[in-house]
Amino acid sequence: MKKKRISALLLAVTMTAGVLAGCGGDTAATTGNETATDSGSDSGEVIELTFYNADGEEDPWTDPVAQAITDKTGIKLKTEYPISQDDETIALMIAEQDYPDMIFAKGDAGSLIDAGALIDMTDLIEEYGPNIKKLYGEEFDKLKYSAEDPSIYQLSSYNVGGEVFTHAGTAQVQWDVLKANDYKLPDTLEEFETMIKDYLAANPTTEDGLDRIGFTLSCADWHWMITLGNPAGFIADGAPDNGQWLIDENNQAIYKFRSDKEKEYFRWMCRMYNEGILDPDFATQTHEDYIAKIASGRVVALFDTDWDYADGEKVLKTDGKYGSTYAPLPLTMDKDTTCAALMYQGLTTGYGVGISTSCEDPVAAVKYLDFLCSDEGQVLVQWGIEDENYFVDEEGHRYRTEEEIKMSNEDTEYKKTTGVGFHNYPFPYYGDGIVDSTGSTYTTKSRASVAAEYNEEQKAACEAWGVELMVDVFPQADEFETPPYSAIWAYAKPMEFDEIANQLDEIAWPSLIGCIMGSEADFDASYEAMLDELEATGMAEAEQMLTDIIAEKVSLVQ
Amino acid sequence: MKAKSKEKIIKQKFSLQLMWKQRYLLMMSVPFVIWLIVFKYVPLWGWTMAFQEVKPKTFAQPVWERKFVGFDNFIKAFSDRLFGQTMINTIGLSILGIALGTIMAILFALMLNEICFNRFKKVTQTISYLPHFVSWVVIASIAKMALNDGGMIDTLFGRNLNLMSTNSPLFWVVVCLINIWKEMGWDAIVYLSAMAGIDQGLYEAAKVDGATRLQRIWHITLPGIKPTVVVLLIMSIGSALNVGMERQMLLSNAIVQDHAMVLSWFAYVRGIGTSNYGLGTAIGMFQSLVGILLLFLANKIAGWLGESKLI
Repeated sequence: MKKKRISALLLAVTMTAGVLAGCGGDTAATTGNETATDSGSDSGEVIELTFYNADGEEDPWTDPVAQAITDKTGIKLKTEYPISQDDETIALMIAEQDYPDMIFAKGDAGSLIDAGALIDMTDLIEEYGPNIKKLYGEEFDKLKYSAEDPSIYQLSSYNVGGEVFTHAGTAQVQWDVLKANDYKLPDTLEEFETMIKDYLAANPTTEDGLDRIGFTLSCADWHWMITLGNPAGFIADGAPDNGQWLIDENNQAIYKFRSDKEKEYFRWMCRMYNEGILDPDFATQTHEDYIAKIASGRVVALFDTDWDYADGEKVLKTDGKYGSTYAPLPLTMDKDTTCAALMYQGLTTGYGVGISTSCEDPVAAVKYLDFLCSDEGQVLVQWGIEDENYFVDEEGHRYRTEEEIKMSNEDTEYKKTTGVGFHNYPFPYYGDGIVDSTGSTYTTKSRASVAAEYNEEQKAACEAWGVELMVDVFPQADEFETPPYSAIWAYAKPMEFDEIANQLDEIAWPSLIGCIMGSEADFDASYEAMLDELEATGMAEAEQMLTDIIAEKVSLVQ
Repeated sequence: MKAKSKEKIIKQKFSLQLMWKQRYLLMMSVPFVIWLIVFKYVPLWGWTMAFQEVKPKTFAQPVWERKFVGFDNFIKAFSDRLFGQTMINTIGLSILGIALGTIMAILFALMLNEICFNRFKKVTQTISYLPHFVSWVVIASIAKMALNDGGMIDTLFGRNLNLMSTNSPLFWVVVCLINIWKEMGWDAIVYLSAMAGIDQGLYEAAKVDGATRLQRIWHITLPGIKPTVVVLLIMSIGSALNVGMERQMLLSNAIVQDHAMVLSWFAYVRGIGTSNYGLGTAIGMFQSLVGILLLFLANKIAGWLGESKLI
């Protein structure tokens, strides 16, 4: 009897709690809506546009910058984003024929255009997008899809012009290591190897007593292209980033792992693995494991790029272990190869925001994009709110306080809470170093600001090298000609091409790892086997297709 | 007595009279028949896609306007460089999974059944089927932490066992063991309930005759649950080709990829991944047809073994 009463009581309590929780949720939701409508009341009702962002994260649209955008445009975005970066959200959207209003599809844009899911923005931009035209300037025509179909389906999600002030280089090494090497930059892979080995011999463990790792890679998923594939092209061939492809001076494309120099690079990797310098666990670790290793300060060197290892490095910075953070190196395999890191490849097209056919109010969407491209919009998304995130000095120049800068560098939640720098990418933006009418740069970065934000390790290095910025030790951008085609990795390519290219990557990924993990004696045989398999899967055909695509793009510009 | 009445029911012939007699029963089944048709049979028209070229460009078109390509999609699927290995993996994983899974579940059920201390039995049972409710995403991360190179197990043994980095059927075993850990408790529930249905009098009689515990298990419990085992086996053989892809995707890595690819994942990669929906449908259709074939086969075998057939 007593038992029954207790369970009845429990039931009652749970149900009441449930009801209360339900009500609570409702009230919160209604209040949220009301505030949103209030703030946009000047320009009528707030229009909510759905936006799929392939690089997105949770965005409740509650931060101050988001509110300011809504105040100005009467539009709020509801962001959808993929759970993992290599899922098939876009393909599923096409299968369901259900699109959000605006889409940033990254590499899947080709199939969206094929499916007729994106609208041609040319006329809309002509009418409602003066700022978009202004932002793209001379490079506006590069947004056109192809010779037969000169529609503009997407804007570009990358910088328009500008200079490069920060670059992660082709390889990275902990500052402590470089310091132990008297800040002498390694010119060849051998020098790089000796530097790491010397450091490991002198400092086998970290201060916390963990064993140091020479270098590690993240190969569990698509990251293999970033840490294993890309550096091979940069370091061995001195090539700019064209994804899995190398383009020679005659605009001929080849699948990059066919290059002899890259074979030597992977042979070196194989030797490093067998000597234990390359992390023995690199092949099975997840990307989270990889980041965790970086965060522990154990990893002496990396072959990666800043946005990829930033999460790990942030932890090191918060712990104050600046010596264990990473120095960018313009590393190449031999002295004859030039590091093309700073080369301006022209406007990157093919990756960008487009408006879908499901969008009921494309004019609103274009107006939203136009606002972001306007000077006011650019300053808002890049700098934040005046007198809060940034201030204006007597000469009318924008500046940020030191606390603000420190917070933006170290607080992992800074972007989300303040909204500064949270709503720019993947929308169009001016490159670093370009100034607006007030004489301040559009982005928060300028030569001076970048130098001012350096931590003590970076400052010490610049002093030792006798330069203002770290990238000054790289081969400079003016040494390179801007190619007449944009970066290949971002082009929306035809499906027939992607079908082969995907299979090539499918083969290269496990094969390369297999080559590295095998013995050095087996290396040549395994590498040849991989090339044979690639050849059998249609490598030559894909190369010809890409060469033709490049030829068409080049003729469009000329 | 029981057997006699059963025979009578079977002998009833289908007639309008009988239909009228059972009209209420029939009416009760109507909603379910409609449900079955709407949700299970109508969607099958989508199989037409397997014989058409369906890519993003043509997807929005009505069925009759798309290009028919005959068996091209099937030929493309069967001649894919991954297809052979994928079939081997799928069948290998199923056989291993069904065999190990059934044996372990029965063993576990037997052990639980032999426990006299009731409260302990209940607690153990509850704990054992908890992992069934946990998503594969969580299970896979835990498993990877333990089994990856340099993971918990490697640390325990003090050397690299290469559990997740050997490109061989060892990966199937690893996957099946993880699957057993997750599903054993849940699968045992059915066997436990079958055991509970065995006449206690048989055990008492056996005890009086001096049968040992093992003898009782061998001669009473196991024959008692045999029909259940057979039914479950037939059902699992029918779905042998439907090896879940999320488990494979989550546990695999570049090195073991050759032995991780299964049919459903293959359909996803080739169909959805490259936006060639016709090809994906063809692979899916092939999977279903082979599944039906296997089901009939298993049913036949059960008949030969002298067990009641399922269909």
